[in-house]
Amino acid sequence: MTLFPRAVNETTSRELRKTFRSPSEIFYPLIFFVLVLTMFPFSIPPVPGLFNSIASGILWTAALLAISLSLETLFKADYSSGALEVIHLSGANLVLVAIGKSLGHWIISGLPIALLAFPIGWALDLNFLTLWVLVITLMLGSATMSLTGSSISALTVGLRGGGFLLVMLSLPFFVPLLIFGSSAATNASLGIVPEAELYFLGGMFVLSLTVAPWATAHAIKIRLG
Amino acid sequence: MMMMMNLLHKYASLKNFYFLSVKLSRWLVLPFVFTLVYGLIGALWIAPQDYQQGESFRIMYVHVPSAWLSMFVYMNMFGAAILTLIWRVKLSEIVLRACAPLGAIFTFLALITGSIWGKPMWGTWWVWDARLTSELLLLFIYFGIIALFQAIEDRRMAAKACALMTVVGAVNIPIIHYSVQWWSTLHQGPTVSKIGTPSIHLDMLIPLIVMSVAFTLYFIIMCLARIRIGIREYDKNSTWVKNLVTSTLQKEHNQ
Amino acid sequence: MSKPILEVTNISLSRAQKLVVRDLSFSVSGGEILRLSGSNGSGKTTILRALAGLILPDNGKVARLEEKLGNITTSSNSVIYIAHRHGLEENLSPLENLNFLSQVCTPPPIRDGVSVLETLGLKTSMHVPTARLSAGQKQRISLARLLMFDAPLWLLDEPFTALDTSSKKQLESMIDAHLDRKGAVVLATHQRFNCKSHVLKHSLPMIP
Repeated sequence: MTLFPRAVNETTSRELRKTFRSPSEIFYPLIFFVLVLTMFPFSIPPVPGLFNSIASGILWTAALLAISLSLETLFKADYSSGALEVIHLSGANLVLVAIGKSLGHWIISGLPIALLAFPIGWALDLNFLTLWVLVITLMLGSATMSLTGSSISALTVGLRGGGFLLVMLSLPFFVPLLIFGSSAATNASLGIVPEAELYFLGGMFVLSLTVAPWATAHAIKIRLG
Repeated sequence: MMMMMNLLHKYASLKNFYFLSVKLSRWLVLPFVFTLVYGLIGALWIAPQDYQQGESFRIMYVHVPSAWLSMFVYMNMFGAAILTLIWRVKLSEIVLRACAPLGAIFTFLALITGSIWGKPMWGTWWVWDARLTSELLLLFIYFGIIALFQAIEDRRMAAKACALMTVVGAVNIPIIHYSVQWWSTLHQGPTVSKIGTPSIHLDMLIPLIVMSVAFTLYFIIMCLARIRIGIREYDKNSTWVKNLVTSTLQKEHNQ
Repeated sequence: MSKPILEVTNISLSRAQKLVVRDLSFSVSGGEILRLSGSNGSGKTTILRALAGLILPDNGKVARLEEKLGNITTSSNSVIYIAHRHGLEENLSPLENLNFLSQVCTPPPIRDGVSVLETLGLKTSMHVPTARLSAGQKQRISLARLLMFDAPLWLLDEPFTALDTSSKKQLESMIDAHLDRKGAVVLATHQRFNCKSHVLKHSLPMIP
């Protein structure tokens, strides 16, 4: 992984190592994803085939909620232990730390969820193209969420009602991802290759990659001072 | 140019801006009342009945200015946010905090009037049309910024955090707007709109512009009042504020 | 007379709109140690954070050697601030914590984590997850940065908390050595401690 700067590597390794030491926490985002999915059959009318026809949208919504809720953990532990302050005071490049944290968060939440969408979609009778499109859009979209979400997570770290405030602030910004992600999957289920949607999601990812880490670094400095 | 810079420097001071705003507010009241009355008369009497929608289109004269102002206020907040983040100007922190609830109110008004406009035509109080859905998301963004202000105890840290949030929002709002528009074209839903029709009669257009000006003047007057409250809070330990408070209390006591 | 390492001129500090420090001035030169004393809430931590560059004073000026704290720039090159909280990630071992810092901080440290932990008497607990260590051990690890980096100014917030007698003596000798090298120390503590050099005192009043 020498294509990333050292600080990014180190931060990502730290995040991964930290999470793998409390093994149960690895599964929380995944379990929540499936839990939300399970709520829908109970709530929508039992019309045969209805659930499967809106499955892509439901999968994307459940993924969105699971990832939004897991964003809180990005900076919480480091803020309350004072590690964030130590890292800042030691002159670390906070932009690289932000990228490392987002990458670590994506590997733990977005990536597993995207991969899990494949077998789940298969069980729900989605065709092959739809399954691939789902996985790719979820990977792109969740990476964007990890990046943009890191800025908002840094801004709201340690505040009363922090988790809820974080989700409330992030969801409006995730709506475009939801729109294009689920529309791509729906089009794929009709046999159309969703080029426009994929371009858009790619564009949003690049935008967030270039803007979010700086916003996150700035947010950390604001909250520490 | 130098004169402009000197002027800006002078009124960045809280005390000078305070007294300037008192004068401004007084001067703006009459234009506000005038434009409001003229706009309402134009909207309710002079503008002819619409060919398709009859009288119910007149709600547009409140809906469109509200929607326009919900964006205008956010642009103001964006300007104040930039000043706060880069130059740490105290006045812009106060402006940011003052604008947020006003922006939320205009957004809410746009939603309510949009909903009322839709009811006679489509029978439901809510349609997922592009503009209304965008306004709804904008309302949530405003709520988020207001909540962030409340959540952080230190006033200056709260202002900086909300300034960053406003800038992040400013980058995302165009994206949200166009995404929602793209999404609504898929659904071919009904639209709550009158503008964009080939020719709009001048008798319909002029009251719309006048009402927009009236709403803007209202926003400025209300915002200045909130800014004055903020200035009094920020400078509460200084002599000029203390003198101001005691002289106001004395005037009330004497009345 | 050499330029002081730290010069504070008429600073006022407030936290959450409450004035905590008013018109404070002092300077600390090489080889000097300043002790901030005062009751809880008199602003000791706030002052240390302002000296570290985390917060900007409402008025006045904080100047560290060869730089003015206008824009908040912090660097392990000029100041080490040991705060109240230990700043360690609980799931990682002390060595992993220190290695991470070595890799991300600028400029790089002068000593590596292993030798520093050995000096601090933590050789056997080097690879144990920090959560399993005692408060005193965690406090000792948080002091590791003092040995890892070379900075003229040390800002210490209650550094003797939870330390046993031998660790306390070690910290006192570390401070003495730092002062001998012409470094400066600003210290906020309730506890009595021994120091070879004369300790300048500053008592902070409570502002109602």
